[in-house]
Amino acid sequence: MTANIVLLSVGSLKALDVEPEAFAGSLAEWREVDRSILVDGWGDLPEDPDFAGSNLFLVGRREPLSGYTLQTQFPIDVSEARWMAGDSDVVLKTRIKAELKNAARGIRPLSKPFDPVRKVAVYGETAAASAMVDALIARNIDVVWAVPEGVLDGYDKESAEVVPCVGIDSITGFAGGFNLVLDAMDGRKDVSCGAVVIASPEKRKTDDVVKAFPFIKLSEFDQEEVKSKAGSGERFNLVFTAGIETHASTSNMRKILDNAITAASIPGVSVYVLTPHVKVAEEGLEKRYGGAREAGVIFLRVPDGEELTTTSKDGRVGFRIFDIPSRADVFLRPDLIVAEESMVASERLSDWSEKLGITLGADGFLGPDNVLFSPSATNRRGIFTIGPARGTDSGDILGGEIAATVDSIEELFGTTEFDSMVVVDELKCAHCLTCLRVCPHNAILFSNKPMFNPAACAACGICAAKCPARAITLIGASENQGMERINVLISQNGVFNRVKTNGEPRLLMFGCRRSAQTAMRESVPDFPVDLTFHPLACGGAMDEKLILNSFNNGVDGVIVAVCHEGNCRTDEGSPDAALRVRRLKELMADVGGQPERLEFMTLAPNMGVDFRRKVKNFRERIINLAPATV
Amino acid sequence: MKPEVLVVGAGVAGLSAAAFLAERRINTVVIENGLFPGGQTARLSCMAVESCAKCGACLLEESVAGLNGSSCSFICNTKIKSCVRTVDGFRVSCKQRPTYIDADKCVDCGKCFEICRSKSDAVYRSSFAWGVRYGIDPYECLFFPDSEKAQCMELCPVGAVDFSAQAVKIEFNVQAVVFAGGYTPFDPYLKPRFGYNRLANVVTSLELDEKLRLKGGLSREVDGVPPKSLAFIQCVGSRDKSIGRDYCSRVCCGYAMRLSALVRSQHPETSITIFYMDIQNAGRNFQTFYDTLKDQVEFIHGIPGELREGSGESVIVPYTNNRTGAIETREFDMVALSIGMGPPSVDSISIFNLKVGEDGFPVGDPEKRVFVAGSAAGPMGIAESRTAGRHAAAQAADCVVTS
Repeated sequence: MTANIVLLSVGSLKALDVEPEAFAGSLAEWREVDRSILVDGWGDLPEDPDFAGSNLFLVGRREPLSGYTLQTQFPIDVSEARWMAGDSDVVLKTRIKAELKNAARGIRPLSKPFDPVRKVAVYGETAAASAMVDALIARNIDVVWAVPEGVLDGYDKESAEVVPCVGIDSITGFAGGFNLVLDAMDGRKDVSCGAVVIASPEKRKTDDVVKAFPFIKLSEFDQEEVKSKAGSGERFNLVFTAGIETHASTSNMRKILDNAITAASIPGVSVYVLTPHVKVAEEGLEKRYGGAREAGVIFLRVPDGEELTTTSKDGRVGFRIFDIPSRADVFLRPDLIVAEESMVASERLSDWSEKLGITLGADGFLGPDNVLFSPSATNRRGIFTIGPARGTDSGDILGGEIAATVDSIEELFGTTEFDSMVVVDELKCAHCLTCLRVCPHNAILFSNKPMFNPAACAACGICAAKCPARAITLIGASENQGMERINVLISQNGVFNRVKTNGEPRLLMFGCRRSAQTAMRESVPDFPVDLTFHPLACGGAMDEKLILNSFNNGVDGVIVAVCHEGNCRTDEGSPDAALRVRRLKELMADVGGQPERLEFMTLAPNMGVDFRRKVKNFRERIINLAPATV
Repeated sequence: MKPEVLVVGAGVAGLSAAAFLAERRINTVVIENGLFPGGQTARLSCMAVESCAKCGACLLEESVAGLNGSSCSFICNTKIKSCVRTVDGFRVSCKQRPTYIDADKCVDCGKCFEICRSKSDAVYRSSFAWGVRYGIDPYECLFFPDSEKAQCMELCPVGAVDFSAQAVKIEFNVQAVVFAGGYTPFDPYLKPRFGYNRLANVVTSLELDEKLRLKGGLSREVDGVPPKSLAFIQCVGSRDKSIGRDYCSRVCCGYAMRLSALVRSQHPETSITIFYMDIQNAGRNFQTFYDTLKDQVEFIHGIPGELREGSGESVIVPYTNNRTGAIETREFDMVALSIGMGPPSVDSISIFNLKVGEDGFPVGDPEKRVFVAGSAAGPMGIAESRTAGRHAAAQAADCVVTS
């Protein structure tokens, strides 16, 4: 049986007008509590062999500094301790009781048990959806297959429950417990599931230029049709187009090469492929390209960047194209064009983006364009987009997306608890709903008070930074603590205390733990600098108040260093910080301060050299600035 | 700890596989032949200009951060000698070469590195603030094995430098193997017409990238100034049947284009030309990326002929004008060869008895509990390697029987 030890901060209790000895005594009488110890502060914690292996309950105003590695004030592993604060002895006792119960149930500190609905809803009528359903069933995961338009050719999968529908109305809830509301033929239909995969709609368009000729779509290519048309005796020009208006996809190129090779064997048929770039970046495609040339397929290059236009010659319409091997213009009159169909974003996706709260990529497809995310992940944990919904038109990449989705879902369903990353002070909360509005991850449910779902929360800190009542704190990053820490660090002359002369400007960096801190570790500056580093869980957790306070406390320059745009782990944190620094600089200029003393930079974790250069430049700029007057 | 899965190679794919297995609490041993984890990716720069360029180079730091503190064992500087099938798995035998700096004693003060840098380059340092950080290359060292004269030994405050360290033999059993041995960069000597090593300012794309990462900019060896003109030659060692490589390396077009954008941002006065066969797509939003870059970079369709030296160590590049058929020449201050990706060494493939596909890249055998991930399985980018690594690890995890 693990011992339960309660550590009480004397100062914190006194601040609440609670008599420390009496409070400790009353706790010691509880059956669940083995020991209750009074301490002066977390820094003065006694070393006690009993601490290791016990459940530790910390009661005090200041929270433990979990995750801060540069300077830890705390002599024990805080990730295994439970910290609680309160406004009165009654509140404190209630919270301690609740935490004791959690400990008895084996729930880790600051974590919530997670019991997902082990069922996945796959939306889509596409080949990608079908492959996704197969992959999930192969892993023994229950599947509900929502099939828009209710059309499903050759469906013979017994294991998935099929729901015909016309679209998605909404997805409420969080990872592990979504309610997917489908627009079904006969009204709305609710599906309860732990994860959602969107693999639809697929929209394709053909280039306008082909419409001047008899044409068929690539997906409708039929060898027999060509055979019957080509039988007239005259040479039959069959022309495949690819990548005319937008770059061709590898999967289309594969189909084109395959069909071109087959068509080239039909007597009387000349096969041409019209394209600026032969796309061969997929397994086996280069060999197939060689095979096509051997089979007699003629590849004509449309000059890159030039529009393909039609011309007439002898009263017949065709293309005039420069043929590189013969160095001459050729006039090509297609008898039939097989037109590539490029994948385009459906309007429906932007509509869903708003309704479902899922980021749209720059190309109009669903899902953020962020290399840090798993290839199918979105900003809402547990919701995945693949294939046509994500704009993927390559077999290799789709395979990767499906594999990654299955892995992510298994990982999600295998999770038994999620750490809470956010604490709300209910007494400060003004119920303004700001947090609900700004959360980029749909992690908050509001019912009397904001309730943060730890499974959905990405700990970006945007809610905490924007809460007007300052009621939200990201675990390990409270406001008071931040200021105290900064003061301690400043008094120690920085992390890189190379120089202790009076002339050296004091620089303070608020940096994202992921990018700036890693970059800093990879490259200690090789020039004199007095730089203090304050890690942020994410750029979104940057606090303007702390920055202004630091200037008040004698810092000469402040740098906010976060991830490059589009490279933020929480996707929205870094752009949010950029915006807020810009506003803060305007504010500083308005009140007659020196906005030059505040610098915003983006860094990559692997670029220590960038870190060094940018800090050096900033330091020189500060040295050349006139002394601060405000 | 009883090892359950062996991960071969600590590049992005291997590290992602290890991270996945660590999350599942599967005991994993990662063996890396190189001095440090990171593989090829450790040499690459972040390609972000104003915003993230989706190159994925930072994913290495991500996977390393994920493993810091996990139970996974990392053994670098180690060669796998044999991997023999047993009744319930594999018997692995490796040899760890000494680094001559005791990682347990080292306090990361950097004194040995700094003193050595002024004389030779024998002391090397990992760019990660994690795991083994320092080592000594005995072949580069001016004094080895004479420890009396070695200044690094004298300077080390904790006595971590030890020239008497010996190679260690390591043996263990595992149940499954994830082979993530990475790719072999194409050796540009095999295409002598591009003048690699014959011409001073012909470099590989990887070397160019490394310069950007370590020095934060480009400069020519001869005069120390940034090149005014730079050319990329695509498909060096790819799509070339004459050398038995009739496959596309898939990443080089995107790589050269991202590198071009990065060089342009650091040296706006440098003009860039890309000689290509066909431009291949690189990830989402490729159309926008390509259109933007076309305004900054000149694209010439066609692969050049034999490169010659011009005045002031510049490089003369002859190529055929597609329009006229005439051979034209252009002079560049620097030429980067976009070298392709080849399969891992035959040696490493044969140790694990792997079959190879038509392009010579190894193929896994789930029946035999050997999985292949990352660019060892075929040319792929960093983000794809991570996905592949995690997927191979998921398959390997399924085979593991926890006792």
